[in-house]
Parts: sequence; structure tokens; C-alpha cells
Amino acid sequence: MSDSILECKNLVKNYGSKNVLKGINLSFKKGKIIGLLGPNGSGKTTFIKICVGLLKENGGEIYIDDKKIGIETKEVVSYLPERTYLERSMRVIDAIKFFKTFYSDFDEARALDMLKKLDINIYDKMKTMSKGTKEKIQLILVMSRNAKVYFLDEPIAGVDPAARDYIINTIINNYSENSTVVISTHLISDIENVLDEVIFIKNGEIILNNTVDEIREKNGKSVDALFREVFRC
Amino acid sequence: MVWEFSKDKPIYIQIIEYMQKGIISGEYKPGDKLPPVREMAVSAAVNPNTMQKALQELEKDNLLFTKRTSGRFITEDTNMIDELKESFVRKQIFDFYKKMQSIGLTKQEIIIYVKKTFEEVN
Amino acid sequence: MLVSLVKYEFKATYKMFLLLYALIIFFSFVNRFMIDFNGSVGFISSYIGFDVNQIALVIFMLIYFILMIAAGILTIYITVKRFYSNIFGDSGYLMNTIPVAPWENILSKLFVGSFWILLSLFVCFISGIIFITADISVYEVLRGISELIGYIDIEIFDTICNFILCVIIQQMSNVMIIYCSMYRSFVQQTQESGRGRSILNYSGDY
Repeated sequence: MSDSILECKNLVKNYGSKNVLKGINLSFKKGKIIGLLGPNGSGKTTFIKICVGLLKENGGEIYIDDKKIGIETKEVVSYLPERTYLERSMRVIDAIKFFKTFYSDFDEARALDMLKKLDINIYDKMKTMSKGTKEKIQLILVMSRNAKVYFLDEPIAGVDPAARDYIINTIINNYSENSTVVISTHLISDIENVLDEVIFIKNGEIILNNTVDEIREKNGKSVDALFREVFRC
Repeated sequence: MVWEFSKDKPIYIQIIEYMQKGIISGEYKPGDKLPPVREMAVSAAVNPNTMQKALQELEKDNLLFTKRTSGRFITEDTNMIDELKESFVRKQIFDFYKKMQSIGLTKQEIIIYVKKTFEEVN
Repeated sequence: MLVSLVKYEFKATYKMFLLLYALIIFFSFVNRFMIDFNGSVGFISSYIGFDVNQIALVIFMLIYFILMIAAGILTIYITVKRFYSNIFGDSGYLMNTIPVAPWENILSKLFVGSFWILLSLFVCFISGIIFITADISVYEVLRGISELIGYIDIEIFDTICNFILCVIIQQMSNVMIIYCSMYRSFVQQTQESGRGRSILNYSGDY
């Protein structure tokens, strides 16, 4: 069994005539927390959507856990999209049952425990909850799975600082050496301390792929500062 | 211990420094048991790999040791702790000296200023 | 997995339909007792008085017809909306990333959608029977039905089964066409564009 959980070569994706991913080459190892950093429209979300099976690539190859994207990879990939994807009329307990039914790696006890600690009533409906609470619930459901890869698309955007701490805390707490977490964000300074590696993506191309330590040692500045330099308008 | 990290150095290096300070100041006593890596990572809000890397470095330097089933402990070797203290303090002094030198002070001038300042401090 | 999807689909839709059916049956009974095909006034109304009876009758019949129409609209609306929002809307982020094949998703919605359509038709049929008993007694209706069944030999039974099957298949293919045209129109554009476009596509495909 190889050490890498995701391999992609020359990944290309077009939306009509627009070339959104121009040949991405990446390899993610197990047990890493990786930041996918880039401005809006750089291709981060497109890349993630391909990984979770929402979009199909137009060229190149991508393998998760040595398999092509499909039902088998969906079983080991846990995805937190940017938006609320649970139905508004669902109660929290319904969402838990849903995850339990469709994902064999879902840890119900862990989810209930985390929800209890936040004083969330599991019989409440999603539509009665604030945005911040909904995001936390979705995060809890996603992180309560024992998946091999987690894709978190902008998990801390649009959320108050205390909630951000909670989210970052949850990510660290759920860390496992057998799984990899990929976080796509443009709020770098909040999350930099948690990342092992960062990937800078611009206009559908990878312009940097390094560990956080190397960047700080080589450049004497934070990833956030480097990002601002590199992506200066 | 409140963890606050600066942005320009790798975090694992800063963790090492924090731990060293803690050992020298006695906040971590010889033989103290450290919490598990994950718990320390959570309280510092850092990647567990980073915390692990720092602790492994400290272990290499013999400031920590691992008992296979029980976890990580601060060294009980007080000589080593004293040595660490001395080298830490001396480095701080050396850095300070370099800073003062860069504004043109001689060694004697520095000592005079230090004495003056100490008289004002309680 | 398909079974779980079907169960999930059911749980999400049954409350609305059951309520509607209960209302339809209730009003069928109410109306049935208010009129009498022989022209005379019906047993409740004889206690109340002529004018009030007329108005009440009209109101109740109106409600009844509204319910019937509502049933039709609701069935189609729910079928389309669930498909749309679950697969293309925000819930699509969930439904399309669970480890099921796309055809399982579509099929589960198809099954449940068709089931409700058929059940709606059946409820209308029952409702009609309830009305008939206003004129003909229940006993006569049952006797008529059992006579009818008596007439059915194997050939007619075969034909009836084929007919029912055709109705079912026709309904399901209707629904499939709606789904396919929605899918097509969705795939053509990148993101947000209304259901309007898919309805246009539907009429084109149909």
C-alpha cells in the first residue's frame, strides 16, 4: 500500500470554452493536513468537486486510494461544501440517521457527543438554526466519519472568530495518521498553524507546493505574507 | 502555558523554545508527565505533526524521554537542565549584546546601563 | 442502498400526501351525504333548511374540487421539486456524494414519484365510488363490483393487467422524461438557471 492517498496527473477541466484547470499534478500523503490556497476563481473548488465526484475531469488522471473516482472513493471521502447541503426541513437527528445509513464509517457516538457539547438539540430542524450553528453541525457530521480523505471547502469563511476556533479545534482533534485533510481557503492566517503543507493555485495552475516549515525557513515570513506577495493584484 | 506563535519562524522551532523555557523556569518540573501529543496540539492550536516533530527534537536533545507505555516525561537530569539554562541565558545575553553593539555601545557602557536599570527595578 | 434511498424519499414526502388524501376522502363523505342524486335534499340538509344548505353545498363542493386539483398539482410539483432540489440544488452536494450510483438516486425518486401518482389516481377512484354510494347503496356497489369480477375470465384479466401495466409505465416514462430534460438542461448550463429552462426543454423533449 503506497503512502499517498491521492494522485493526480495533468488534470484538466473546462467549463465550455473556459479552461479552469490547466494540468494539475499533485500527490497527497496520508496523515497530512494540506491547505489549498488561492484567490476566488483559481480552480480550488473545481478541483475539490472533481475529487468528490460532483464533476468529471476533461483530461488527465486522478486516483484516490488507488481507485478512480466513483462509488468506492465516495465511501472513503468526506466532503464539507461551502453551502448548507442538508435539507432545511431535516432535523439534526434525521441528518445523523442519513449519514449512518449511507456511510459505513460514520461514528454516531462521536457526532452525538460533539453536538451535546455545543448544546445543540438534535430534534431541532435545520431551518431554525443560525448559519454558524448549521455550519458547525455539518462540520461535525463530516468529521465524525472515519474517512481516508476529508475535503473542507472554505470551512471558516463567513463564521465568527469563536466558531473558527471551534472548527480548527475539531480538525486538530479528529486528526488521524491514516487520513488526510484538505482545506481550501483564502483565510490563511487563521489556519496556517494547522497546515503541514500548502499549495498555491492560480488560474488553474499550481504555482507552489511546499511545507509550511520550508516556506517560513526559506522566506522568513508566514505563508499568509507570502501569499499576499505572490497574489498581489 | 499560553501558546502564541510568531509568523516568521517554523512553529516546531517555536514550540521547542517554549518547552525549553518552561523547563528552565520550572514550569515543567523534572519528571513531569506531558499530556498526549494530540491534547498538546489542540491546546496550542497546531498541527499534531508539528507538535510531534518538536517533541521528537526535544527527545533527541534528551530533554524529554519516553516510557513506552506511559508517555512522555520531562527529564529528571537536573544537570542537563542547568546546562540548558546556562546556554539559553547566554544566548539571550549574546543576542542582547549584538543588539547593543549595533547601536554603538561598548561592553563597559552596556554594563553601566544594565546596573543603572537594575537599580530602578525593584 | 436503493432500498435506503427509497425509504428516505418516502419519509420525506408521505406526510403531505397522506394529509391530502385524508382530506379528499373526508370531503368525499361530507359531500356525499349532502347531496342526493334523486334531487331531494339529503338527510342532513332537511334538518337545517334550504338556503343554508345550498350555500354549504356549494362551498363544500368547491373545496372538494380544489382538493382534487391540488392533488394533481401537488403530485407533479413534489415529484419535480424533490428531484430538482435533491440532485441539482444545494442538497445535491449531499445526494451526489454519497456512495450510490446516479441511477440508484434517479430510480428511487422515480419509484416514489410514480407511487404517489398512482395512489392519487386510486384515491380519486375511491372518492368516485363514495359519491356513487349517494345514489346507489353500498351493497349494490359491492354487488356490482363482484358481478364485474365474475365476468372477468382469464383473457379480460390479462387485458386489464396489461392496461394497468401500461398506465404505470406511461406514468413512469412521463416522470423519466421530466427528469431527463431537467438533467439535460442542467448539464448544458454551468450553474444557476431556473427550472423554467428545464420546463421548456421538457416540452421540447416530449
